[in-house]
Amino acid sequence: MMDDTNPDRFLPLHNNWFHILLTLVGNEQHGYGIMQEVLERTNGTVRIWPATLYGALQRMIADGLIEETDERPAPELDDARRRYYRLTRLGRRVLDLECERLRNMLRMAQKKRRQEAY
Amino acid sequence: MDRRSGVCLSLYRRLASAYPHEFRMLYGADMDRLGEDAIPAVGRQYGVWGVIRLLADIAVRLPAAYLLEIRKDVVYAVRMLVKSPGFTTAAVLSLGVGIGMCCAFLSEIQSIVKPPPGIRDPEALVTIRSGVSYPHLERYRDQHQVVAAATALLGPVPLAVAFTADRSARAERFSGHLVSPEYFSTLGVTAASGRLFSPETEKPGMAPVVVVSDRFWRMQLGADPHAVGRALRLNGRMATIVGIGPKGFLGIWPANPADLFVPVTCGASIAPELSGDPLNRPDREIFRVVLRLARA
Repeated sequence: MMDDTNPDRFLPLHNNWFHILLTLVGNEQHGYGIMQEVLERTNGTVRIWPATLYGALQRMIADGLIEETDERPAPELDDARRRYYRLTRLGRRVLDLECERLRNMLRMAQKKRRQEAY
Repeated sequence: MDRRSGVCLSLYRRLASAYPHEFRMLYGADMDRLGEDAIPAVGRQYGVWGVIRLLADIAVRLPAAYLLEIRKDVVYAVRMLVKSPGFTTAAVLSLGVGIGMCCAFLSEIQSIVKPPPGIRDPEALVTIRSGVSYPHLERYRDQHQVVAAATALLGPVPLAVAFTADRSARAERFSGHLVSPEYFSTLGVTAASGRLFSPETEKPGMAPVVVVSDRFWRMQLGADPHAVGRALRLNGRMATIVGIGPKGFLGIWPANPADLFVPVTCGASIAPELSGDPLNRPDREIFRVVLRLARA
């Protein structure tokens, strides 16, 4: 039977999921905030459109990678309609493993390029 | 917010409101709020095509959201059913029996109520419940103000059919109708191939002929294009196929389908039901009569 908490089963991570997890590292964020931060971080090359974003959030919550948080900003900065999301322990683990996987791939690519240079 | 953004936001909300209820309960308000921020920003950054792209994303993902909901419901239902095998068995059995009974019932009703295929103006046809003698058929036929045409038939009757002239050949049993020569013209049925019966061609003492149904032609004669003119052995006597009925036509009563139509003029040598000269005896009330009512 498949272990739901095994982080390896999420690898390789979907591109949008990777960006969403990366956005939620260290801070809670609402949907539009995630969308904007991904756009800014990638210099406008990655835009997660609303329906895609909420579809991904729904799946990621169901898989236990992220969760909704009750912690909210100051009332003057808040809007009651917004929902805030944060990483779970599993989400953090999956992100670390994905980063490690990408790092290894980059290392391999760099090694190959160095060999070509000689 | 300018007018264009207002229209786009209204469209966005309409599309977002079409998402499944459960999805709306969880993310509806947040999604609406996101639209208020995103639409002006996307409009400024990417222009009208950016907004169209955003709306298209919502529209395209809508069916997927429903499929996901259905999948979740199906998975949940299957889990529940697996957990209660007794209930599942009872439910499957009762559904199976119920659906089967309904299908059989509807099929029967259709065969009774629905007009048989291939018949012209079936609403103009009436039948007499009790048996009628063949000589009395003339009386009905003479009521020209009421009756446009009348026919008599006897059946279903079993007919032993052999496909070769060889007397020792094995015969198969098929259901047939013994019909008066006006049968097909009264029903308004036309032949798919060959000819049908008429009072001019079917007279007592003539060589036996038979009209076969389209079903018989396809299943028993292998849809032979030269079937008309072939001879069949019916109840031990050779009869020539003179025509093939239209597709789907199995006689006037689909509940008692017939594959073979033999004229009553063929006599008792083919059909023992016609022994005792019932065509000329007013006391032999064994025929069923079908009348086509005159218009107006």
